[in-house]
Amino acid sequence: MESLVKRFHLALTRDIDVCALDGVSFEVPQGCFLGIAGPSGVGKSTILKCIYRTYLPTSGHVWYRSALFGEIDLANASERQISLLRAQEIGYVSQFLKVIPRVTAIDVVAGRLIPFDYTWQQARQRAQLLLEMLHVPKDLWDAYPATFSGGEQQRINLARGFITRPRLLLLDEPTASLDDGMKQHVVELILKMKQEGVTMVGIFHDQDTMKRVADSVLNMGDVIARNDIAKRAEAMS
Amino acid sequence: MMETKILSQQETDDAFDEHDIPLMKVKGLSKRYGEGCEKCTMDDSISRCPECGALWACRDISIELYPKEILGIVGESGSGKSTLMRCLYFEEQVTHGAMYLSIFRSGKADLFKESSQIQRYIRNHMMGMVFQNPWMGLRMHISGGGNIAEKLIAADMYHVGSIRCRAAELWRRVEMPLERMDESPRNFSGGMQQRVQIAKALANHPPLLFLDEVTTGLDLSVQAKVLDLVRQLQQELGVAMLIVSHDLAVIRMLADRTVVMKHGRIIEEGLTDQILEDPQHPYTQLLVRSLL
Repeated sequence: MESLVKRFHLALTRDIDVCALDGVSFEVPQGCFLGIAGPSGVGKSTILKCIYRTYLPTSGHVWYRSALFGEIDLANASERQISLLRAQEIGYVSQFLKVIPRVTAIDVVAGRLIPFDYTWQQARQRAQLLLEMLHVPKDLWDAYPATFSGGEQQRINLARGFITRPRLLLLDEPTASLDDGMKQHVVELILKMKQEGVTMVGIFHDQDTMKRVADSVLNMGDVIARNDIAKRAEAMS
Repeated sequence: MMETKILSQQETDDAFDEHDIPLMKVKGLSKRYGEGCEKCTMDDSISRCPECGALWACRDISIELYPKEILGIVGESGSGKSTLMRCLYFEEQVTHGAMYLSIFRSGKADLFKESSQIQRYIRNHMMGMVFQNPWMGLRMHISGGGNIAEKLIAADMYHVGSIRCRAAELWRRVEMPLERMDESPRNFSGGMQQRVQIAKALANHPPLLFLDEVTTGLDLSVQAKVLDLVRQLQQELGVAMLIVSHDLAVIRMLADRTVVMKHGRIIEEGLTDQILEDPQHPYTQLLVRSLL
């Protein structure tokens, strides 16, 4: 990622400009886990959303070596390209489960495999495997996730992110509402995914989990301080 | 722990076609009602020309729809969404613009320039349409099954037995009670009429389906059921869909990409989650804020 800037221009009753990211750069080698740390409101989630293109970066580049298109700048790729990358190789697990209502837990997870020409039966088998690993109780599989507890929803979300074995996985506090035992299972799964060569960028509030999974950590506090110093130096010269 | 990989690399590599070409391409489509004059398209903020009074329902619309994709079109009423849809279904003549289908003459022929006979052929064999108003999509004086049969005959299916059989299959698929197949759609509830319309639209296995405000005016539980049906059918059949709606919740649930229309123009287009979470145009920001 090269000097990424994200500004929101909001045309409310009066125009407001919010600068969420001001020149962030970092690199993640393939198969590594980069953690993003820092106090809330500092732009951690914004980085992930800019990579996933839920947010349109204002300027800067996000270089990604894709299987589909070779090296591609996610900040400037076409929407169709992003659609295909999302379906096939870039996953995103958010804090909250956002799914289509009236779809059962198992189908929420299995549905991710349908674009890969899986039959529903095959897809459900894979989904079962993952739900078992994440210890989602069997009697919930055919229920609607909207009615689940926070921790259960989060595990469905993780299963959904993991099932396609993406090349790049973005994790936004995926363990926030899990107890320690459950966190342990998630950490094991993340380490396993890393072994399989999945590149990950993730945010964890819990330092312990971060230490166990991250190969390196980007501290947003440091990034901002460094940018401030650079700007002051520029102003002085 | 996990013994096998969740998905092997080879499986993921074969999943998509290398040649990713749009199924439908629309270029610079404009639709004007009235004579028009030289000053006509000057002002973006109004659709009616102050000089000659001509109404520009669509102005310079360009869109691409890829196979198996769902493209949403949102905008307030009067923004030109439905006119656009009717133009694409050859129900209105366009003033300017071109449309190409990759499955017709290798995508080289401008369909708006073809004869009405060819346009009818394309409509009958490659397209399906579900109207907001069932009275537009269904003939109320013939039976529900007859409506489906009509579409099948238009698509060159003449064997009575196979028509009955296919009609019954579709009837079941949209979860309609079989014993009511010979009844006039006039007797059906709004939600049922939409189901029959969907069955009719899908009868000829079209790769392209147009849906115009299909759930508007239905009560909530019926709305949900119709939307679920559309979503299931899309997953099952891989039909590419163009969905017009003023309801962002419908678009959020169904569309991969979304275009926003106002005064007959596209003012913003993007991935649906980006349109909803990071709208760029002030009008889209207003629209999204109204949802929450």
